[in-house]
Amino acid sequence: MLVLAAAAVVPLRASAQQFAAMVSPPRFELEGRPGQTQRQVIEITNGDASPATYKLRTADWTLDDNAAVKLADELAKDSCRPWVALERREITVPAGGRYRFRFEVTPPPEATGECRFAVLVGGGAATVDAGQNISIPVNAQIAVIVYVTLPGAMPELSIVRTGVAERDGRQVPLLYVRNTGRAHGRLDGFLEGTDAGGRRIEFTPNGLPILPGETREIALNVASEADPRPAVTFPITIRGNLEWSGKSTPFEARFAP
Amino acid sequence: MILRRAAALVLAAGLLGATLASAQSGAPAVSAAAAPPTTRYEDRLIDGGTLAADDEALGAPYNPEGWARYWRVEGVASYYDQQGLITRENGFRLSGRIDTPQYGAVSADATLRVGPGSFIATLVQRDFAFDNRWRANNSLGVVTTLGIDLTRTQYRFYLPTFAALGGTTEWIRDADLQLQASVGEPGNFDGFRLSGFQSLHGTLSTVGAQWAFAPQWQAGAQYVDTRGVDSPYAVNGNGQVDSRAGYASLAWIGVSTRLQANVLASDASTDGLSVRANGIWLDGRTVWAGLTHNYGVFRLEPGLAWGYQPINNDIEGAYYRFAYSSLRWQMDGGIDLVDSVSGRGTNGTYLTLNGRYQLNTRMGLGGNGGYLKNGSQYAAQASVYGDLVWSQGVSRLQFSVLTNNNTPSNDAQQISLDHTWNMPAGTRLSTTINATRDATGSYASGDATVPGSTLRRVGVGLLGGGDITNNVSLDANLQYNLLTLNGSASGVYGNVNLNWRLSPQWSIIGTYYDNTDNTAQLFVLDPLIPVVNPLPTQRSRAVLLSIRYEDRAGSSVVPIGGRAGSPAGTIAGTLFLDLNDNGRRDPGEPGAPNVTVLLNGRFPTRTDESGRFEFPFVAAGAQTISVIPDNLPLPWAIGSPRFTVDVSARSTATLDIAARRIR
Repeated sequence: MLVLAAAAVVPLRASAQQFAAMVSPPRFELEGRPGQTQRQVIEITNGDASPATYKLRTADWTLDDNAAVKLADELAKDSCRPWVALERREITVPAGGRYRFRFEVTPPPEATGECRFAVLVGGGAATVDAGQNISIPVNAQIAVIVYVTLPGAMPELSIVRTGVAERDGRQVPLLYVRNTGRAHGRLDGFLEGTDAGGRRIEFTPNGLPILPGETREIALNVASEADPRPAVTFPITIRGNLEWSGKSTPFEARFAP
Repeated sequence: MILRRAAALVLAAGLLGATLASAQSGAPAVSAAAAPPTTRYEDRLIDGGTLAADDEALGAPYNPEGWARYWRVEGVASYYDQQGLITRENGFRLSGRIDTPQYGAVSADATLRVGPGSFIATLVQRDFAFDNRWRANNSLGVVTTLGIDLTRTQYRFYLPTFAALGGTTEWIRDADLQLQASVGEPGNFDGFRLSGFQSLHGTLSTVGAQWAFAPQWQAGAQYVDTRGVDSPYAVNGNGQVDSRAGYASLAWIGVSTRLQANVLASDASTDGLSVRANGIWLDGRTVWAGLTHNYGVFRLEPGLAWGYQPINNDIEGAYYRFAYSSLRWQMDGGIDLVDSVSGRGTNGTYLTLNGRYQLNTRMGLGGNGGYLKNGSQYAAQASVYGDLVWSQGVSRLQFSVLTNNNTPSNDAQQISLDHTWNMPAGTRLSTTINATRDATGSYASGDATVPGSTLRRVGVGLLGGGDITNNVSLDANLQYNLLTLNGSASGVYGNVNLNWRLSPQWSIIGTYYDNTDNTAQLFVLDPLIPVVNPLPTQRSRAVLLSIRYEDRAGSSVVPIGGRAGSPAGTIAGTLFLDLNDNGRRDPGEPGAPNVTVLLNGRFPTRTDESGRFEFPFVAAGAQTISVIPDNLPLPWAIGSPRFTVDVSARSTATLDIAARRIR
């Protein structure tokens, strides 16, 4: 198993001596039908000045507690990768060229719920300077995340608890959201808080996916274009409506460190 | 850098590999795996791996030698019929660009037109950098004269620039000093697809300078001199304008407040009749209590002119605007109080209020209203609307009422349903259906009474397009109006574009335009222009065919805004007049021609007769598009003249820019 660490912001372009690929789209959120095949296209562009060879394969993935992707080559217990067929396992793209790579998903007739997998676009070996005069040969790759939701599969989100923790050097109000449904969900909505200083501050939940069966920490971010963003003085009471997948629920909670 | 971070994570974790991934954000992940995995699932292959590669998109062999360059040659044949007036425009357009490492970006555009014969050419050099913080921009040919930045940062009044056959030069030292000069023979653009230049004779010269002489302070001045210029407003075509005009401005830019004082003096003589006039106006902007406030006072004497063009004059008064924006609320409103300086004009008041409330992430409600009183004339309009995001796209239901007491009076009501459909990638579709009642009152003409009339109109429209095959795309803007007015026939407005890519270099573009709808649009409110009942539109049609060759070469891939090795795509868009002010282009909304659009403030292009513009070879990633709105027809303006576009490699990023009515 590959163990993965996450970065909060990842540029679309990866640069290395032999790996300068652009991949589009970055994510698929598809609606599948049991027994029916759908074909999708990933555009892979070689930004390097010389032709590049890429290896393609699928992987299972999950999210760890820090919302970092964990990829797995071996089949997961409930993997749907057997539903997936790739165009080929290796392609060569000329300098500056684009390749329309095709893959198909065929959910079996009895399939329900949601299928998740990744298509990995891997490049050739490159040497990475890890600092302190240490160089490591690595394989660079880009993972395209794919969700295939089957009819009737919906997220069911509920707030298990709330809290406050330091994130990126700031105290942030947090929701812990459980998904008891059969498809991933993302929390949305408009929230307004009144902090200890009496100031009214608008918040929005971050858009992290909450996978079926998991409980995920969702930060409530201050919605402001002001620079710097207004600092929140705790305790703060936040209320409003939380929304996901067309559903809405009232919310009110007091947050204190 | 990325891989370095990945490797550092490998070491920190003491694990076999590391991947930077972001399934949560949807961005692709980049990983660095130090060792191969132990067990791998063997993926199935489509047709056992025998599926032929989609070679179409792989691109042609690329010549990496020399500086990055791009060129295009286009042969155009077109036929226009406006109320029976036939115009045939045939000719060529050539454009090219080269990004030199030492002399900035050099671009050239030329149009040769037969039919109404014309040849125009422009050579532009931008971002010619010097060691001592100076940069220069120069242009030669049919150019747009320059205006210092302070002429554009006023809130209420604009000083226009001019089209001229001549040259311009601009020297900029960082952000603190700007020097400009322009000279040439002024004129107007004409033509449809192939622009020509209609000279007004005489000469026009401008000089300008702007200096940030202290922190938070800017001062600037501009002088325009015109001699022997044919007045574009002369009744019999004999008017000749000699004029001098000077403008000076002083701005203070604080943290939350910006103040700008402007003075303008002009001495304009038409056929020997001289008019001297002065203008002074003060603009302010303050961000306070969560609101943005714009305010100002002005006094512009009768006869005030800028070059050979009269500008707003014989008015004095004050204005105030506020704007508020939050997650749920968007509000703005204001008041203008305008009096005639000479007493010969009319005194007016203009009120406007817009509001929108987002009920939830899917539904929003809003409304706007305006009231204009100009002497004994008044006009008012009000609209309410609801927006809904649902599984099939975005819908807006809107109801509008308008009324004025012109002679004849005009009352109109309109209800419309606009929808932008969720479509598969590569396709787009918006539809509209609207019903309008437009009543004109009776009025006295001598001893007779002209009876009023009522037009009832039901319109349906479609704006959409998509890729029919890998190489053929079709776009259409269609509107069908069913009329009931004294037996008037129904009318159609249609614009269809077909783009056939024969090879990476060659393409054929065909356009057919037909407007048999001669109904008038609804009137608009503008605080500085008396309300006029619109005239029926002209019936017109056009056919256009162009064959285009374009290619690029240069050191590997050095696209605009990029660096060697950067993938590139195209930015294409339309600058359109947003009639219903919803920010999206709906069927029937026309494009704005001859407006300059800049990529990254450096590379210019101009919208065609349909308002379309294109930057064909742009570095992938976030790029900035800005608009110089000088050629926008009044009362239209661009709210935010800068836009960020995400360009993907070898793809076309589209940007529709809405020009909105100044309220």
